[in-house]
Amino acid sequence: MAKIQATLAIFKPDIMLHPSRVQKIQQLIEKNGIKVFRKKPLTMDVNTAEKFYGEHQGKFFYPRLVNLMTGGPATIAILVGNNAITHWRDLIGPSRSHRARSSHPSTIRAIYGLTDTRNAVHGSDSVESAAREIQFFFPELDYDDCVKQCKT
Amino acid sequence: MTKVLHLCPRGLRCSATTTRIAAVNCRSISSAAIRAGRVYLWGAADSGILGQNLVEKKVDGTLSTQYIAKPMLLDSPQITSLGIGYNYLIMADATSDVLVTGLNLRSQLGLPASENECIEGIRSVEMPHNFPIQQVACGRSHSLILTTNNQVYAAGNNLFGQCGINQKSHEPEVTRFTQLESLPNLSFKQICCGLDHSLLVTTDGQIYCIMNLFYRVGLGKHENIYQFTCVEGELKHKTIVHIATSADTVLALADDSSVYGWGDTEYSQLQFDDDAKQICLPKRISLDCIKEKIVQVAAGGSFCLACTETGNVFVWGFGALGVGNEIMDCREPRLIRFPDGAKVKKIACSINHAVALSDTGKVYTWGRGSFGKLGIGNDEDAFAPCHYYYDDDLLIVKFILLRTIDRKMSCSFNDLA
Repeated sequence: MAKIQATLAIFKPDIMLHPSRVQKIQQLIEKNGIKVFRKKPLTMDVNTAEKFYGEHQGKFFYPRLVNLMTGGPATIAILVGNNAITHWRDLIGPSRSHRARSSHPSTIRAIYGLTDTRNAVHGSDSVESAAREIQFFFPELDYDDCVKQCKT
Repeated sequence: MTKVLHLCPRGLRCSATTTRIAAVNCRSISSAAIRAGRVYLWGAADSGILGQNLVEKKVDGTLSTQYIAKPMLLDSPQITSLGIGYNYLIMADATSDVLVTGLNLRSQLGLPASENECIEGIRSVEMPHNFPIQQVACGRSHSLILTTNNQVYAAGNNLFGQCGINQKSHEPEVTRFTQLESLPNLSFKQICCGLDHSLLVTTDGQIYCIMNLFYRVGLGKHENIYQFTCVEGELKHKTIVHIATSADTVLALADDSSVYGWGDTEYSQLQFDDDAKQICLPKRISLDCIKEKIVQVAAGGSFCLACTETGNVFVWGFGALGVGNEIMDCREPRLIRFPDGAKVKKIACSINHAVALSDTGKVYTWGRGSFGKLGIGNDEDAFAPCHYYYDDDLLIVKFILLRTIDRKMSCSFNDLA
């Protein structure tokens, strides 16, 4: 059943080096009836990136992930819409771009992801993550605000 | 592509050259070839630089993509080397002239990004020297140039020190081609860029590399290294013939034909036994099952290639490997079968596609076909080598990461078809 949800999207520094592709992804978001509720540019420092990806600490890809995220400006956005969390994740595709090219060839990461780390975009994976991630980057907002404000 | 034909005052057919292809190389999203000093391009065109009128569009319900599906000729001056980066291209002629086009958000074209974030035409860039250029190597957003006096110049993103310049001040960007300052007494024979790292081979066969971002530079450390540092591990005391990298995996071939690898091995590109995801120090790769002498190696994003003295090509790793659509995962090197039993003399690969040049001058491509980067007229994946060029007289072939050329120059573009 359709339910209004909010989710956190990040345009990672790798895709930000290609402005026309960022634009394409934004058009794709609009075309899918998802609304960009808030958007801001951010160049993450190491602390921010390490904290944001804290759950991955200790995994082999953690250092390279932190390096990528601090390697240039990103765009952080709150997306709102019907089932926005799963809808946005469906558009993104699996995190491993190399595998996505086989299993989900029409997704953003399959088309625009360069590698499994430089995979263009991020999306929250659950309501709990979305709430936490929105608060992380937009401390002045909480999840329910985003949903409520969007309904009105 | 019919429009392209009308733009063609001096077609390939006018060329009387009978020179053959001398080399192949490729980078991540597009492809290019040089023959008789002229450049052929195909692949991604969504940075707008090729000019919209030359471009095919694909709308598959999600993202529309723009690309050049078949090789196009850029009727440029006598180009002798080119480097293909992430949506940009750097070409050099036999003098010291450098021609650039494409994305420049990190000054990777050797021009300040503050003046031009994208060069939509072809522009020449002044070099700080008069030495002819031997090689050009491009990464995601940084570029290296090797001159005939074996010195290296760099420009572009230096956030992780990949330009090897301004190490003390940690300048995030090098806005003009600048000579490496840290290695004054060394001379180099090969330069190589991964997406975000740089590798140099000295004339006596040692490897220097920079940036440890993804553990891939082979120094066994986790932190970034901001200066070029000699790579050792198991290749210490070996004389390196050449190195290959495109994303985060590196292969090195020694003069005794032994092969060493380091960097990412999430797809078993570097070893066949255990499940390590990354190799921090160069490690010898056992390729004993290839009974022939290996003369060239290439490293993609999720797979590797080796070419033997007899012209056979072996592949291992993951992806559209060229050994049929039923084999996506391949831990043991596997022989790729070429149409008509063609023998290969050069190979190159990018993150997810590959190119081979046969001993008769034919170019074969396979791998992921997105953005038309296989040059076979569509954007489908190819699970076996495809041949599009039917001319036997190409001089040099290189593969382009992302392609960019100019509408203003369109009168000098030709379609090979």
